[in-house]
Amino acid sequence: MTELWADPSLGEIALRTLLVSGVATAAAMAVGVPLGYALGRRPFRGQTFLFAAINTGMGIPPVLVGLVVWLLLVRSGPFGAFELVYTKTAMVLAQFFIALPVIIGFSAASIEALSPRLPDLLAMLGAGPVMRLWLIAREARFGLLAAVMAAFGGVVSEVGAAMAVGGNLQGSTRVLTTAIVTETGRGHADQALALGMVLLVLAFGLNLGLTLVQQRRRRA
Amino acid sequence: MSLTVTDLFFAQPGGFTLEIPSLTFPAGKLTALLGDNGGGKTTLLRVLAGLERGASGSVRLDGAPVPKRAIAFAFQERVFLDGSVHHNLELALRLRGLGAQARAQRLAEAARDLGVEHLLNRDPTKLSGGEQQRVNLARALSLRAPLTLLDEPLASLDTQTRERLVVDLPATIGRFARVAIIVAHERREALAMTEHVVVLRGGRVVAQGPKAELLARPPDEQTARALGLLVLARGSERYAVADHDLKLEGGEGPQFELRVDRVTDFGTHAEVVGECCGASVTIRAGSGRPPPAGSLARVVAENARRLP
Repeated sequence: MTELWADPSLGEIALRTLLVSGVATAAAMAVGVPLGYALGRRPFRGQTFLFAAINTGMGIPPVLVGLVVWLLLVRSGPFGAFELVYTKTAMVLAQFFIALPVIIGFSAASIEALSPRLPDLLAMLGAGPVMRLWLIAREARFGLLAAVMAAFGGVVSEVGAAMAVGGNLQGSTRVLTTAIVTETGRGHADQALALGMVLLVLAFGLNLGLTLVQQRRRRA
Repeated sequence: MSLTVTDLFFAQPGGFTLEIPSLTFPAGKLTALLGDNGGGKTTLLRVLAGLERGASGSVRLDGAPVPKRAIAFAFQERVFLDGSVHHNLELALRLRGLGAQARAQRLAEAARDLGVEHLLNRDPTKLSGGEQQRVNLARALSLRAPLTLLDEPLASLDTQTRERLVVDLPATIGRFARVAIIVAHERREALAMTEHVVVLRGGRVVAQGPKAELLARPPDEQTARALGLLVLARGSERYAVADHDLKLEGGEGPQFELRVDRVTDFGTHAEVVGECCGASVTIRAGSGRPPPAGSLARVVAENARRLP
């Protein structure tokens, strides 16, 4: 166990984990919040079907997403020319698709809970589309923070997609979850447990920060 | 110069259609938009404000298209953003592109006009319905828009504030608005605040014109009712009459039978409540003895207008 703490690659793996999952969550927010807004703003034909599809997307096994992304990115696949498979970019892409339905679902639910007249008020006051979306997101921020926590928690702890598209290459695409699998496979249960603790501490630290922001604003 | 609506058509998903070939809201005068529930009053305001995408036709203010920034709309549903009353008023002015000094001045003025200065640091969602309505109005009026639309501006307000605003609101709006349109459920107050009237029924304009003219010569029975007049029938003749023009003693005009339901003695005067030609009426009794409950009495309708 002591060897693990002394291993300089631990910090590198932890940082890579934060980077991959952080970028994937941020990208999913950038795409998912506007889509959630469109889905939750007002009732429309097919809304129930889309909600059901998004809810299904939240439950899709990450390994399945990883498999599909791998098939798309592998050399013989339609995007093979980009040579992205077994790179951090591929991992970000897979985690983006895992996080996206979570962000859309949470965003749509929190926007649906706002007054349906809010967009009208902002339009009447002269807010442009970007400003309108920003102000509505601000109103729905408690739900959106919950979306970040749920999405980041989901992608940082998944192993299937990271393994499938990242390949668990040492010094390149190894993240905490795939490192845990590797150490377990080698019979190093204590090291695997220690890595698990690091993962938990990272996830807890981020969630604590976001929860503090959420609760402080709620009390304000 | 005015707000003109031409060939307006808007169909709602539920089947309701708003169809107005031509309509003019005069400049410099407040217009009351009257009509039964579901007649299209709020929908017309939303179309005028450009909030209904599917609407076709033209809406022009002083001959030119109406820019978004020329419109202020106080919605019937009071919507506030998270933050204080001050934040809500200030944000509205900021979105209109006003500088800090102008914002502070407008905000202070609107807060004073609507008596919400002491509420500026409060959370608007935690205010009473009447206080929220005053903040809602203050936000709309602070914009000083050439086209000001107020949907039920006096709803939820206490009697004292309503009475004050019936007098003050037209003067305040008149300082900046070219055209102002008020939808009010309480017809008396709407008429007291405005000089021009438009009556909507089933998504169509059934009457429009100066208030005094329409009240003096209502074109039909439903318009008379929309204007708050009673419609009383005598044989084949129908008359429109204001309830305060019904007299139990004296007066000149057509006579109608009243079935007295109850009499309330207030000491200084008595009020007789009953049914006259199918309409429920309340008549202030004169100095004589009021007819007893359960009896039939004659009432005279002064200033009655015979309907065509």
